[in-house]
Amino acid sequence: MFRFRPLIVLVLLIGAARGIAQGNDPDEPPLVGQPEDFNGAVGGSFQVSMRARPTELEVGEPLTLTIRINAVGTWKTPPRRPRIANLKAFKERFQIERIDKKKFDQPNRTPDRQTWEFDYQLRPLSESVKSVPSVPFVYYKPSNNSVVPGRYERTLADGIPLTVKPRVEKPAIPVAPIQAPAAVFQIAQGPSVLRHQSIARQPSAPMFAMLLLLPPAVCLGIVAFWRRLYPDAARRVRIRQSQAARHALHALQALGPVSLDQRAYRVAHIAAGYLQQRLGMPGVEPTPAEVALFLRQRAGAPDALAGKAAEFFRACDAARFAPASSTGADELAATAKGLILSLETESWSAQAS
Amino acid sequence: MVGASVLIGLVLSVTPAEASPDELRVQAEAAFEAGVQQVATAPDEARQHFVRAARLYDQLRTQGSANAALYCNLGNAYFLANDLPHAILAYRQGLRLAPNDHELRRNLAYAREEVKFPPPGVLGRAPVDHRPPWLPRLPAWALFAALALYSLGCLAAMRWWMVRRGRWLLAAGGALAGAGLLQGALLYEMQEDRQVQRYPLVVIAEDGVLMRRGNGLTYEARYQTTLNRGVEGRLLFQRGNWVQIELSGGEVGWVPRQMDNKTYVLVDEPEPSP
Repeated sequence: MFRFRPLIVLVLLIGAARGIAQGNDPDEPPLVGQPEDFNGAVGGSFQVSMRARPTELEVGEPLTLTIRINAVGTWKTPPRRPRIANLKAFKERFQIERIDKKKFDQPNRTPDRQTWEFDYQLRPLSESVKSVPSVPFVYYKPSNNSVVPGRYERTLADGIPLTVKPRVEKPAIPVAPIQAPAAVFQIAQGPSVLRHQSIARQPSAPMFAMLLLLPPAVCLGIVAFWRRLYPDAARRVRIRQSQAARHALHALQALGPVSLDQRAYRVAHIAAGYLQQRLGMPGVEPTPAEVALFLRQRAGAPDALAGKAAEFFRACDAARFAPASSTGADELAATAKGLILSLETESWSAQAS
Repeated sequence: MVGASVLIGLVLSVTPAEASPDELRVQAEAAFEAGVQQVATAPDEARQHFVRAARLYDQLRTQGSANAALYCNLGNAYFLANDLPHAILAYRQGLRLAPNDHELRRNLAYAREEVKFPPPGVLGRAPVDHRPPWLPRLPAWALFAALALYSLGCLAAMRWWMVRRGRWLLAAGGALAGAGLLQGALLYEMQEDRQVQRYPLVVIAEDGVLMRRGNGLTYEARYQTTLNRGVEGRLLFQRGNWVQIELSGGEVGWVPRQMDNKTYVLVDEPEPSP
């Protein structure tokens, strides 16, 4: 039993040391002995390479450096962006600019699950810069054996030769002249440019309806008022509705200076024409009896009106064939006018027409 | 050169915030004139003067001034300051107010000539105005004229009803027909204006803008041809910082309105009320 005591103590000591260094997780990189330039990547193995473009440039011109980290086998923690700005070899040779400031730690590209690419923009400070220095990469390689602890591994990305030429001062780019048609060089001046001109706007639907209905409503109001003021005028208007009456009245007014018999003939002719057109009376030169009969029986006129019409035609005949004993021509025309107006105003007349 | 830049910076910074419209106008005219004076000798400084003039005219616009002359001045200042998209937008805004303005039409044509349309195809070409140039645009008072004619027509019809004279009927018919024609033309123009308000004008503000299938950079391009600054279209829809636009040929796609502090699309906002 005592023969194994040193071995037991050794195993306990190793276990205690691992517990202190790693905590509970055996894959966790231990703080004890951690290199300052440890990247944070944890995995079986990583390979690092670099590429630069362009490799021939002038002092101060930018070049894009891409660091490519490739995990071989399984990995637990991906690499972070290598901090090349902390490397003295870079600080002395280049001005280092961040390309993407927002996600600085993130890779610019991940072509596959095992590969990460980080971009940098470098500007050589002098023509003495001959290369992009090699970049060290430190990662933690966990152990597969629970007894043997994991370890920090260091690998290097090979440097890239550069050709840096002295800066050649380029001639200033001439400022492009302003070319435009002459009209563009002219502006409107004065207070007119301060006006507010608006596009014609359609009124709202209720407002539009109101504007549409207002004029007819006003007109109807005026008509109602007018009819109340001049009731006789309204009657005259109704008379004018009859085109035949209008023509007959017009013809009676237009009688020229002719002899009495001629005048009586024309008046009778006008009155007969009116009866033909308005009431459809047959015959060109009806006798007084025919007129009275037609008006009474066919047109349904009152007896008094029919008698008045027969009397008128009788008077016309008398003036034509016995001028000495007849009434005057002007009186005949007035009688014809009265007869036409009477026929137009009677209610049966509207039904007959 | 540095001295000139400092001087321009000082000039740009002295614009009072509370200047009256008339003061702004005078300053804008002075800046424009200063730019014209330096066009031949110092184009860079001249451009700065035109930029300042454009800003002052734009300030006038935001204070409520809106007329064809102001938009023409604004467009000219932007054009000479090499800001083609803003110039085209200003000319188009002016033409919305005065569609028959000869100067605005001519200067817009100049500006459109400067737009670089990538071959091949006709993607992004300037829209064709189908309205004949001789056809006058109805003024704002046309609506009142239509209403006046309509009222006169009603009055003439009423008079005809009273006296049954044929001439009154003729007058009523003529007035009502005129009112109908005028109102029809007004309704047509207002329908056009409503379309413009519904689908505002947009102008591409940067070169090489791709129209995409959706509102994000992850969506693939709808057309392989890119749009350059000055291309005009209509805004169909806006989602977040992306706008769906339609070009004159009917092509529809999404473009970013603003991204990474860059404006890609200018949108014709309605003019402020006075």
